[in-house]
Amino acid sequence: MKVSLNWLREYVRLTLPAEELAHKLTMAGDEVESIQRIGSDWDGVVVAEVVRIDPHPNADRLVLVTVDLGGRQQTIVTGAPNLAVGQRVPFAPVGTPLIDGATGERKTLKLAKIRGIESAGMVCSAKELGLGDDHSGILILPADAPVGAPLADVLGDTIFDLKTTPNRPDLLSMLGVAWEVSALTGQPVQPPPFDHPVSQPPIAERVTVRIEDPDLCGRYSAALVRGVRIGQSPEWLQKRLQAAGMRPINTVVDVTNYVMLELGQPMHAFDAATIAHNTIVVRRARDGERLTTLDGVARELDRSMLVIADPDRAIALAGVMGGIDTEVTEQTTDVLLESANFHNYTIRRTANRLRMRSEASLRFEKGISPELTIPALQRACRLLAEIAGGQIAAGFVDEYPGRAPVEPRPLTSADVERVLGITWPLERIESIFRSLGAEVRRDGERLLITPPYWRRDLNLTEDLVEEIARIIGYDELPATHLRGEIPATPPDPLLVTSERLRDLMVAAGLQEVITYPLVSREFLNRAGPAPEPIALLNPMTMDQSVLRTSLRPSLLKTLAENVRRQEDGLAIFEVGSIYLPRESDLPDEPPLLAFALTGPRGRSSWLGTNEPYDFFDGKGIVEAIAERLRVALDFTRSTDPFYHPGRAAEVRREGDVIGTLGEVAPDICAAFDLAGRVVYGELYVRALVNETLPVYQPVSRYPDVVQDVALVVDEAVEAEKIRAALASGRFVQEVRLFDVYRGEPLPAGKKSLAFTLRFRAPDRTLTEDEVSRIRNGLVERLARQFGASLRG
Amino acid sequence: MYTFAKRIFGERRRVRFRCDYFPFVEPGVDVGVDCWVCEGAGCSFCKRSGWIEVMGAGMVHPRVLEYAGIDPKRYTGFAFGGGVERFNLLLHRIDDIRLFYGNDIRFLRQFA
Repeated sequence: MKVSLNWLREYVRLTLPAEELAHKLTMAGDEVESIQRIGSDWDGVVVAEVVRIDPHPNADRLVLVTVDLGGRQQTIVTGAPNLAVGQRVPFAPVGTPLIDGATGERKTLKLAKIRGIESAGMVCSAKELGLGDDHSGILILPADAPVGAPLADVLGDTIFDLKTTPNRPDLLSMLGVAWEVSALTGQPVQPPPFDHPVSQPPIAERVTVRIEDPDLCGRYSAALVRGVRIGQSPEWLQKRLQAAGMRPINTVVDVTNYVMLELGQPMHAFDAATIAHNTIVVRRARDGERLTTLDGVARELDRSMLVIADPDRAIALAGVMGGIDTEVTEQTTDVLLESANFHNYTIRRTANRLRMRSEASLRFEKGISPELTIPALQRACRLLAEIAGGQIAAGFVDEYPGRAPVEPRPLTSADVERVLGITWPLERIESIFRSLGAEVRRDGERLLITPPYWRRDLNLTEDLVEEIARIIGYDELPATHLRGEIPATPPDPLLVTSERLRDLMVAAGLQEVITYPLVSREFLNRAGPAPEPIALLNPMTMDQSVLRTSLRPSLLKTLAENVRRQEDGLAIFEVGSIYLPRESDLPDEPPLLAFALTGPRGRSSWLGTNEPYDFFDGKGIVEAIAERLRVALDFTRSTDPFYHPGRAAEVRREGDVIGTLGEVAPDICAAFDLAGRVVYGELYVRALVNETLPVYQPVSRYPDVVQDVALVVDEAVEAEKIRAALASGRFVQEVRLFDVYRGEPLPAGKKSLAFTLRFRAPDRTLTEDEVSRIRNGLVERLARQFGASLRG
Repeated sequence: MYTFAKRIFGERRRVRFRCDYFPFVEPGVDVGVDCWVCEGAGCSFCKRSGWIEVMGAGMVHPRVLEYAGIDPKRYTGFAFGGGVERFNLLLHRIDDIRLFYGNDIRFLRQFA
């Protein structure tokens, strides 16, 4: 809301400099976003009177204008078409910074010779002074502007741009701001006069109002004004509308806008002659009903919208915009003024749906007070009588189905102390509420507060306490530290494990990333079919319309985007949740650890070759995790089509699959524009939680015996299976695969797996013979189970 | 809040509390510190106001307590919050909040 201080002064004395007042308002919750000073750069610009106009000797289109500056005269050259002797106009001497009417740039006025005649100054258009866009002629000042006076004294103003919070629609009005200033500075509010003359016959004999949907229209009040002169509004009114950023149109429309700015109640004026049967019906629109609004657009309506209608048709979109058929025109003589209270959400929805938010809908959607309708009609009638010669029909029509009694709210010192932690004398509290326009009654140790009718946000005790705090000033409240014990809570094992995983991954050289949980359905399935996701009812964009059920696409996309701008290998991870719908419960949201690797394993250096990441890097990461978290994990072959066949594994803990890893299938890499090998892995964090503490195992005092064994098996036999079988042998402490060999002299389709076996007994030294016997037993078993033979 | 703001943004900073509206608190507070680029004089970083809003806070709205099964007649609560992106924008002089969501390794590695 743009607040002109000149206008504001009509309701309350401003005792503080603008900066200080802006600060006070801001601290009290009414943020002044900017202060605009109209006329602060008009140094030397004064009110001049045109005393002579002579033709330019060398140019047909130019004239020589002599102006009186209050005792001295000056002649200048101008091409302006709208000058006449006797007018008061702004005069800028050489050296004034002005806005160039043609380019809009700021320039300093220089002494100029125009077609041979020197021009020591300039008479200015509104645009040149920064007062608007009008550059069609010189700005003509009011006839009573004192000649020679600084222009800033006549037209200067200070405008606050006030940011209002959604709970305070009253601050979208000058009077509302005046009450705020009053409470903050102690100056009384002088409300504008509401009385007006009336004439017969009364409105009740002419106009009927019927509200068919009282849930959407809590109150509809109307006034009838006969014999109005439609024309230009007086200068003062136009100036105020412009200061608030609105365009003057004609007397009637300007008055409705003026009252809206003054009191915060949007109004609408109908040409009374165009309303069938002099009857107003407030009802839901019918599906498919049509209405051409004031902007000339034919709109199709539906049942969710509220319209103002006569018995024949819709004539306005309630609270949003009027209809063109009932518009006030040059020919209008009788005007029906509407001052109503519409349901806030309905107005908001309609305005959004039709993309026609207006000053009126902006106020209605915040839920203004229904008590405003009558004061607004009174003000509008008074102004129309004053500036447009209107005859006000006696009385108002006032349908008020939403009337609700206002109960006084009790407040005690104890309430204030409970919320703010300070005690405050009841007298001070009482005077704060009075300064805000409330009625206050003393009832023993408590106050009974009836908020002013324009404040609908003061309902709970806490609302009242906030008023006290903000008027005193939050900075005036003392600060204390928290006292008392904070209850101890055991750490959440899932969070602890997640954090541990992050540290492990970072230590392993991976970079953490965080991707959006909201994705599009198409994207979610780009890495192969993902479980059916939960779709948002009201997505902001289609790109973020479902909750992800897989981390795969997000990680591959992040990888692909970084590959484009990176020479070295990439290794990223994320600990993030997926969202799995459940039949009769909220979705399950298991956190996952996922990682993705691509490109060369390290930076290229003199140390040697730099091979690309492969399956075993991924497996190494998972094994490192298993070791550090002390969970035993096994790997079995995976047939997940997301992975390259034969280069993928399921990760198991105690037989249950808790994740997968592998090299990503080429077709999926291609879907993300990833060339080359990509390694991916994911593990459920829940399955990695291990809250047990390690239990000490006695360290053997006897030495280990180490023996190697090389076994030839079919290609199809997995090394892991052989390793597991060897590990089950008696006294075997550790089995490590140290070589895989294919080729001569082995026959095709065979491979040799070489293992190191470490044997140890807790109570004695093992002999080589004993160990060889155990080893041979294991080899025989492997021969039976896997057709393995000892390599020569 | 005062201690928190000073710890995060520096002991030299002035901290102010102004009334503001957040639907889940009443009374509502906007916590600001004076701008460290212009030392409160007003610059483009603080949009000429001399102050930077860093956190929202207030007394938990009684309706919120009620929904959580806590009797607002017996208990009051203090709530506060600030976006982690916002803190980091301010602390690291990052000029585009979208960088936090872009996962550009060249950005992430600066803070690893």
